[in-house]
Amino acid sequence: MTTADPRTTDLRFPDAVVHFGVFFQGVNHSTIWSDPRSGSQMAHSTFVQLVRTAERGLFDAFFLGEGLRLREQRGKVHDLDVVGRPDALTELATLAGLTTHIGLVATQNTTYNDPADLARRLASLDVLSGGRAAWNVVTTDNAWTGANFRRGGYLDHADRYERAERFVRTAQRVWDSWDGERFNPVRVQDGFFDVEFTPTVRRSPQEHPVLFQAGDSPAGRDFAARTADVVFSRHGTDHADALAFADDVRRRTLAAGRPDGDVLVLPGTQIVVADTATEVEEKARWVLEQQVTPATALSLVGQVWGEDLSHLDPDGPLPAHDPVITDIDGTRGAHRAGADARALAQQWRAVAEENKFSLRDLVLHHSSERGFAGTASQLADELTHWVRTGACDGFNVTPYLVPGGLDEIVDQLVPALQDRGAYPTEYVGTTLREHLRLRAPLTRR
Amino acid sequence: MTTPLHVFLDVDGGGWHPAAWRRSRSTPDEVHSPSRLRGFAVTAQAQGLTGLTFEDPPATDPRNPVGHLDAVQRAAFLAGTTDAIGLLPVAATTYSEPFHVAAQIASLDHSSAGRAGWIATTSPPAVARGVDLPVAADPATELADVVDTVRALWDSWEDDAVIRDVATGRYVDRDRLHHVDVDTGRWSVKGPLTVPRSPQGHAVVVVHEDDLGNRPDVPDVVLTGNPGARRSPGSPLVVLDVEFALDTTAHPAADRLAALDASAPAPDAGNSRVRWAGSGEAFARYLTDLSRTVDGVRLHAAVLDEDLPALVRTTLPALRLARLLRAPLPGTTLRTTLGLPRPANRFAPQPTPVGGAAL
Repeated sequence: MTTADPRTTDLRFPDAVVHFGVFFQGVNHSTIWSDPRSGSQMAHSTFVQLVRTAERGLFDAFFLGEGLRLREQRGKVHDLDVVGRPDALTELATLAGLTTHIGLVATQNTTYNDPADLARRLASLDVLSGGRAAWNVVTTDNAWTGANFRRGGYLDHADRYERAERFVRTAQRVWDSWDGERFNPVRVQDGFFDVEFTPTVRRSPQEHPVLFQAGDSPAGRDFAARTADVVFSRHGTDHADALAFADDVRRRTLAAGRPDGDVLVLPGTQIVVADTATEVEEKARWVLEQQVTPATALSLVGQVWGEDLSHLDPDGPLPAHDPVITDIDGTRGAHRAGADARALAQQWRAVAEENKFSLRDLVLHHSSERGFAGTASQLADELTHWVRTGACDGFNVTPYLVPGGLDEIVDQLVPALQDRGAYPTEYVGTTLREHLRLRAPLTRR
Repeated sequence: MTTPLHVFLDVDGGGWHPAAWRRSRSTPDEVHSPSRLRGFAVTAQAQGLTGLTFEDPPATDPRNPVGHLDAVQRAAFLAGTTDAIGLLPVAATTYSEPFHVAAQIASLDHSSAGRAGWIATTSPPAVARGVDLPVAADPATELADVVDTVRALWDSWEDDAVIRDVATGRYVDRDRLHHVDVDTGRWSVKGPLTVPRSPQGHAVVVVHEDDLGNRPDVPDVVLTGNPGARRSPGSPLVVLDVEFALDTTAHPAADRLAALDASAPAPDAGNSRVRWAGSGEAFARYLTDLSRTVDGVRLHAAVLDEDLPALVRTTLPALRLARLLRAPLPGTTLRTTLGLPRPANRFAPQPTPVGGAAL
């Protein structure tokens, strides 16, 4: 037990425990692929090792990301980051067959799916996993992604949460269809959907898949406050920022007529564990430099400048000229992006000049504030402080290496948290809803 | 050497008979239980069957308390706990997104290490209301277009696209990733797929004759309800779709069917499947005769909990003795088991033949 920390005096949630999820993104530059310990991003064995490590560490959830079009620059697929991943629900069904407790969260898009089909696939996973399925609800508003779909096309930005909310309402009716005697038909005519069908999947042990939501805009936050069980936030680095976000979610949840604490907050983050202060610093630096390779630094700067800068010297200065405002792909509000880019470029140049940073130094500098690094003991104190001050309910960790990147968390950090009484010592239930201590689904109260 | 007969078993719900769930050893809630599904897979694989199929009827009696789980989800659920048997779910084509179907089946092929098949089906008009679309005028053409699109997406990553070139910082060779730019005139798909090319290149594509239209080149395997169908070299494999009921130790098959019909009458067999009832030994003789004309059979049990044990006890031993049942080896792909080649990638440079004579 740590009692010396003066911060413990203002703990709003003195009994709170840390919830962990693992986020397998599959597309990003935070996953190191150049190290010999880095495994395949697609091999079945990679997923099995990761999910079993997470389950051994009593993680609540295994998250899969999804994108429906590969990122491109100037007509060619972005080639510097890990890319290529399985269909989330299909992979999770396989993992359901190999695990017993951990929750299985699929990121799925409301813009390019049909509610009848997606709700049914989610319900099927929920039944097959014994009540461990969850849906991370995301939306897309660009025709560029829609080009992969026969029913693609542009959805107005303002409409996308409206559609998402209608979509979720329809899905909830699918999950409530079986009344004990028959499947009741779902008939919806709400301006977004005009459908009629009869569902075929009975209720799972947790009744509905758990709903995650990740939108950060005011509209996204209100959508979460009205609809979601868990917010998967970006606020996982700075405590004050995280606390402000969590308080905002609490406020919006109450305003939506739901009880306090009805929506959990799990920020995405990265955690680096090492044995001594020196090792922590060295390891965090190593992780960062592997993530931001010279080519990646040039690419990230190139994205701000809106041009291919791969010919520049990463150890040289930032470009001297301002970003050129061009219509990059014709669908993404390139003008605003251009104006923002010019301000950002000026800011970056000022920081670089002040610190005598090279181009890559600058990118490393701006990437270094990502998550936590420390000894297991330090991290256990820090994460406990986060959840007990109400900054969040836990963390959705992106391992910087797969499949071995969770080992240090499970083997070192989890026991340290358990020593502090801030982490479960066993799974108390079998469903994800039980792990997260959630109330019944909104339509079943 | 006899030609083996590929035996597929469908594992949808209680069985093909609409009253099957009443005879199941499980309560309606348990019919789709994970352990029951896993039990069928363990049995089927141990018996040396070529594959499990997962039907997914679009409309069911709302009072049937069993319902249906999504077929791809059920197949994927078994991918990690089996290692030899093929897994062939239905995914409909008429109103579905080719991009999603391509990603789902490719993922199944990855997680099963190359044992995925795809039974591509058409949907009846009623399904259109569920997705707010006009009724498709020509489902067979739609199916062919969707399969073509899916196959193109399966080729959108070359096999060796992931290069992990530390020197240049490149994870993939972007020249080995391809836009497919499919345009059917009614819809278009850009690509590339978000899933890398899978172990089999293309999962084994299965289409029922009824759904095929005038594009016999679409599938790798044709399901048929015509007992007179014959395999022919260079054409898709021919698999006869058979609904069966066997004598059990307690009751003759005919009595069992009569009792089931009394609860819920079975619809006519129609021309899409053959319906067969009798002793397990006679069924073995029937299948042995079929092995001379078709590549395989897909079996639908009237009541899985009753007919599968009877099949295992009385029919399969005779097929095994006749060397007609050749168990797939662990680690082999479904294509290898079926003797189908791995498709070349349409976007990849064709390999230069090295020595040797052309076949």
